[in-house]
Formats: sequence, structure tokens, C-alpha cells
Amino acid sequence: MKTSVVVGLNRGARAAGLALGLPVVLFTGWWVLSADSTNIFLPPLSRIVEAFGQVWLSDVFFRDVLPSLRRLAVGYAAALLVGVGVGYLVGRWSVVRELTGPILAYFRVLPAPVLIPVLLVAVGIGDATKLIVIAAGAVWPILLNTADGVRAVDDVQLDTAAAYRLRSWTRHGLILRAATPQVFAGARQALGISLIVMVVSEMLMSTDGLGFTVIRFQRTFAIPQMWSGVLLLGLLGFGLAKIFELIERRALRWHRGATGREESW
Amino acid sequence: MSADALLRIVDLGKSYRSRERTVDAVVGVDLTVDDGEFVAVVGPSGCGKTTLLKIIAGLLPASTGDVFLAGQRVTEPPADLGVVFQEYGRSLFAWKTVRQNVELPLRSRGVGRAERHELVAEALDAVGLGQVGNAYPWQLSGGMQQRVAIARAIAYRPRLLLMDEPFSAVDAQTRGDLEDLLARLWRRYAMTVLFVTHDIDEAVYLGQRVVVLGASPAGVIAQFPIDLPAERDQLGTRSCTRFGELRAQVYAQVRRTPQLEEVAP
Amino acid sequence: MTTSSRAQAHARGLAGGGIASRRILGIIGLLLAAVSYEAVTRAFFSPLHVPPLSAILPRAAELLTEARFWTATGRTLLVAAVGLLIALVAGVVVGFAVGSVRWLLRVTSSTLDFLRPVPSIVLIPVLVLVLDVAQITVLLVAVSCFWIVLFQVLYGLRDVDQVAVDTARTIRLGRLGRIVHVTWPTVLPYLGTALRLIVSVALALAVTGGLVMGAAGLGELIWSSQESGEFTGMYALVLLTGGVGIALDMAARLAERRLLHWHVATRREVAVR
Repeated sequence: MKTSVVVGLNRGARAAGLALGLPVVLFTGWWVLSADSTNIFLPPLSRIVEAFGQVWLSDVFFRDVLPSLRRLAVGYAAALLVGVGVGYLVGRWSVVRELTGPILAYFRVLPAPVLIPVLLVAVGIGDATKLIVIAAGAVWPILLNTADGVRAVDDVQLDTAAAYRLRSWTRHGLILRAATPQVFAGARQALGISLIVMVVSEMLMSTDGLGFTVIRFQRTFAIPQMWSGVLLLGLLGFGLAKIFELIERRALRWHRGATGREESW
Repeated sequence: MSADALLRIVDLGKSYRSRERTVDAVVGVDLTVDDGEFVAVVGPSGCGKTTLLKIIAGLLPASTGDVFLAGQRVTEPPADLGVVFQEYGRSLFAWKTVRQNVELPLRSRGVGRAERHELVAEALDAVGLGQVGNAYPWQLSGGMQQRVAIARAIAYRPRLLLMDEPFSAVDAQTRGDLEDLLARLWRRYAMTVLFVTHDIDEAVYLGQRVVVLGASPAGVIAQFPIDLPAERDQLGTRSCTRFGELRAQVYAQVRRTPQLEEVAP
Repeated sequence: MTTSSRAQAHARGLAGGGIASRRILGIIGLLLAAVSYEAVTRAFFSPLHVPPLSAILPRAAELLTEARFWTATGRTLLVAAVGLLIALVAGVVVGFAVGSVRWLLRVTSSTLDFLRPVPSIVLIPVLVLVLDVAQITVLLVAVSCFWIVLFQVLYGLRDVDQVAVDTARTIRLGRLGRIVHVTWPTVLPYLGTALRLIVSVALALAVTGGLVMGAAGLGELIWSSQESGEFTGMYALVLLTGGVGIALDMAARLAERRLLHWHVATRREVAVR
């Protein structure tokens, strides 16, 4: 299952037209239809765009957006580190896998946001809680996918590494590298989860951050501002997914090639 | 003969035990391979050839008996051993270039940079892949990929080269080319080669000696010295009378063993 | 696969332990985790804020006998189920519409790619102004699950074997016949995967709706226990929420296996190569 449904869309202007066509139509439609809106809940798009500039391109960016992004980055990085590390152990050694099986199965299905009240009580309302919640929500898909990937590494590759007496750290590196497609699959899933958990944790317990600000706008009936925040969150989700995709494309070029998803020369 | 034996296999057996029954894959194999010899091992599909080879390579423990390489008992993959697997696509690391693949065992062995480059370049030239060092394995055809695996083995300068049906997954034309390439390399590098195949023609064409394994469980049932001239070529050798006679003799032995029902490869 | 390598695979399976020994190790792991949690909480935390398992478990058992727990669970499950059904129907319909008409896929794919990563909870502040919290929660569940179903259907449609389609044509199957005999069986396993994925997503969002907006159910119960300082009860509820998740996951897996026992087996065999 690969990146996007868009198969070979990068073919010139026609492709650009196809890619941009519908979004432009939708945006224009929204703009025109909402132009004369008097419904306070559905302000004209022009007002939202205006509010977007006023709200987010000011010091709010440093006060609310940056802290959110920092939490996201730190929590996600921690999840990556722990998820890949533990996932490797679980995937590589069957004893570890069997010992941890039921525990992992439990945490895989436990909804990440319920950890928010727990950590609120256990750790307090500080930044640490949010970081831990983000990491704790994001770690499971990474861990489980890494374990699957490591476990599925080809026997022939393992035999080759053994027959040529590769050093053990070289072997660990090879196994992890062979598992990167699955690691990325987990990391991609985790990215979405960490964004959601970040917003929820800020909605529930924060004095700054994107989630908090959007909720504050809604409570104070600053509707265009609230819409602009929703728009920003959407753009953030989209932007992060795109950045991720870019990194993944680079890192997994060999995998697409080896599985015949890219033409050979 | 045993004075300069490089490889000595004594009463080797391998059985797999499950709750219901014990399956013997290999029973009572005795075999000696002299230094510099080219021995081809033939046997019907599914007769435990791969198991035998894996035990010799130290990748699988034997149930009974011993393997000695240069007088040392084999308990783990020995130094000075090269292995070429049937599944070339899976034994090469797809995220490494051709050059990096060939270089990896040398790097792990701690060969210095300059010498490493020299060995890799020479090996790639020897298999006729001097030009594609920077390509990735998956950008090459199957035959070329197998040549990369051979280059990796010879760059390592093994005393014993084990080959497990290395050419059975390539087309007939390429196969002939690879056979001749292997024969040339064997003479050039004075290696000892143990070549496992299910193809009788190939065994007779390449080997100085052909060893016939019986159907499962595998045991040596016959050996034939191949008294064909050292220089062989696809057309001349294969059409000469002596080749036909030898081929018929080996064939009779292979046929004599009760065939198990063929398991689809 | 040769006989020997099959025997090897068999032997490896044995070395990895049978189902029984695997289960025993799993139980040992659980016990180890429980004991270390108990020890750590007793040593380093106040029992008020981080109660030991010996306090949580009896509370959880008590909750199991209380009507309010079951009412909350029922509400959460209902919300999750309704949202999930909407997502399934919408995802399959939209997926088939978009996926089987080539120009439609081309026109919409960039938009779908854009909208998918937008987290559904951004809808909360918008919808809170016009809908009640239960409806919003259903919608959250539906939107999140919809993307998963939609993309699985699209992946499935992309996977339809052209040879099978051509074969169907040569035996003069009509459009409907091709969908019934070729397309649908290909997409079904992908739907099975989707089902397995969306069940936990649905539970997560149903609970989140309770946490954030106070929609009646497990999430709301957890949040109100936290606010009223009934921490042991909160821990017990979280523990039980995971249990609900396990039950749902097992149900989804069972459904998937029932639905596609024939296909899952054959796919595995192929996938191993």
C-alpha cells in the first residue's frame, strides 16, 4: 500500500490542472457561496482569510503555534526512538515477543486520549504531561510495525549476513534497514495520532497552543478567528503529511525499485 | 587424497523433530572435497541439498556427524567461506549499490580502504560488471544480480565457495553464460567450489566430480569423476560423446532413487 | 519450497514454542508488568494520585457490577457503531464511485490526499455551534473511519487483477457480473483490513468525544471521575476501556476471518514469497 492514489501524476501541466482543478473549484465555490453569508456560524470565507492573517501572522504564532509544534516534535521524536528500539527487540527475539504480546495487544487498542486524564493526575498539568501523552499515543503503531518488519526480514538476507560473518552491529543495522518500509508505515500512522493527541491535550489542559486557542475563539464567539484556526490545523496536518511523504520517498526509493514500483533503466 | 582434503564431511545427519514424527532430511553423508576441486552435487528436488549446504556453511547445526573445513570443525560460519544463494534478489541488499553490496563483507572483516576498493573493482571486472558499480541491484537483470552475488563471493577470496542452485532462476541463455563465467573464475582464483544443483547436465558440465544424493533423506549414493577436458565450452562439450555417456550414468543413478512427489518450487 | 525448507520452517515454529507455551510466556509477561507497576507505585507515588494495581483491580471489579458503567459503555459503543456504519457505507459507495471511474479518480485524488491528513477533531469547535455533542461524536467517528475505508477500497480496486478482468470479459460477464465475481472479491480483503483498523479508531474517537465535549459515555465518565477527584475509579475505568477495546478488536478479527477465511489463507501463502 503506497503513498497516494495519485499514480504518476507528475506529468506536466495537465497533471497540475488535474491536481489543482478540484481544490480551486471548491475554494472558489466556498468563497462565492459564503460571500453574502449573514449566518454568524458560517462567515464569508473572505473574513476567515482576513482573520487568518490577523491572528496567526502575529505574535500568536510564537505564543501558540510554536509551542504546539515543539511539543509535537519532541513527543513524536521520543515515540520514534522508543518505538523503533523496543519494536526491534520485540521483533528480533521471540521470547521478548511472547512475553510482551498481551501487554502490547492491550496498549494497541487503548485509546490514546484516555491517557490525558491519567497523566494529568499522575504527572500534573505541565508541559511534560503533554509530551508524554503525545509520545504514548504515537509509540504503538511505530513499535508494532517495527516489530512486524524486523520479524519479516528475509531468511536469505540473514543467512547471507551470517555466512559472510558480518559484525553484529552491522547485522542489526541491516535488519533495521530492511524493516524501514514497515517502520515508515507505522511512523506515518503515528504522525496523525500525535497531531490529534496534541490538539486534544491542548483543548483539555493548556494555557497556550493551537488547540487551546481555537477552543478559546469558539467560546468567545470569535467565529472567523476560530475558522481560521481550524483551517490552520488542517493545513498543518496536510503539511506534515507532505513532509513525511517526501522523506519517505527518499528513504524508500530502493524499496519501490525492488518491488517493481519504479521503472528500471 | 585425504591429505590435502579441504572439506571433510563425516556421517552427517540432520533430522527435524516435531511432536508427531521425526523427519530425516539428511542421513549419513560422507564426502571429501580436495583443495582446488570443483565438486557438483546433484539430487532430485527436495532431497535436502539445501539443508546439507547450510550445515556445511555453519548456518544450521547438524544432528549427527561433523563437518571439517581445513581441519577445523565447523560450528559457525567459518572464515574463508563464500556462499551464493539461489535467491539472488533476496540475498543482495536492495538499499545498497552493487559496489556497497560487494564491499560489505570486506568492510566487516576490517580490510583497509585502499585494498577493499581494489578487491571490489577487480571482482566486479571479473564478472563483467565493472560499469554498474553505482547501480542498485534491482536495476539489473536477474543474471546480472547473480553475477553481483558471485562478485561478492570472490572479492572475499574464499577458500571454499558454496553455491546453492545459483543459476536455476535465470533463463537458459544467461545460464550458459554464467556457467562459463564460473568455470573461468574457478580456474583463475584456484578456489574450491561445492556446487549444488538439480540439473544433471549442469553438474556434468561444470564438475570435476559429480556427487549424486538420494531422494529424501539425502545420502550420497554415487560419485562420478568427470574425465572431460578441463577447457569446456557450451556447444562442443555438451555435444561430445563422453558428455552424453556421463550424463546417462548420472541420470541412471538419480532415477534409481525413489522419487518423492515433487513439491512445487 | 523444498521439503527440507518446509521441515525447517516447521522446526522453527517448534523452537518458537507452541501456542500453549506462548500463552504461558504472555501470562508471565503480564504478571511481571503487574508486579513491577505495583512495586513502582508503592515505592515512588502517592496512592492517591497513582494508585497501585491492588487498589485499581477491586475498583474495576466493583464497576463491573454497577449499572452506570454498563450504560456508559453501551452509549460509547452505540456512538462508535453508528459512526462506523456510516463510514463503512459512505466509504464503500464513494470508494467504488471514485475508484471505478478513471477520470473521477484523477480529478479527486489531490483533494482526497489533501483532506485525509486533516485531523477530524478540528471539526469539534465548528460543529459544537450547530449540533449536540452526541451527534458530533458520531460524526467524528464517521469522518475518521471514512478515510480509512475509502482508501482501503481504493487500494483494493487498484489491486484488481487485469487478467481476471479480461478473463471475465472473454466469458462475457457483464459489468455487474464483473463487479460481483472479480472486483468485489478483490476489494473484500481490503475491507476486512479496514474493519480491523476502524474498530479501534471508532472507540478512540467515541471516548475522545466524551473527554473533550462531555458526550455521555466512557470518556465522560473518566473525565468526571478525574474532576471529582475519584482517581482510583478513573484508573479502573481506563483499565476497563482497554478491555472494551480488546473485546472489540477480537470481534473485528473474528468478523474478518468469518468474512474472508478463504481469502486470507491464500493471500498469506502468496505474500510469504
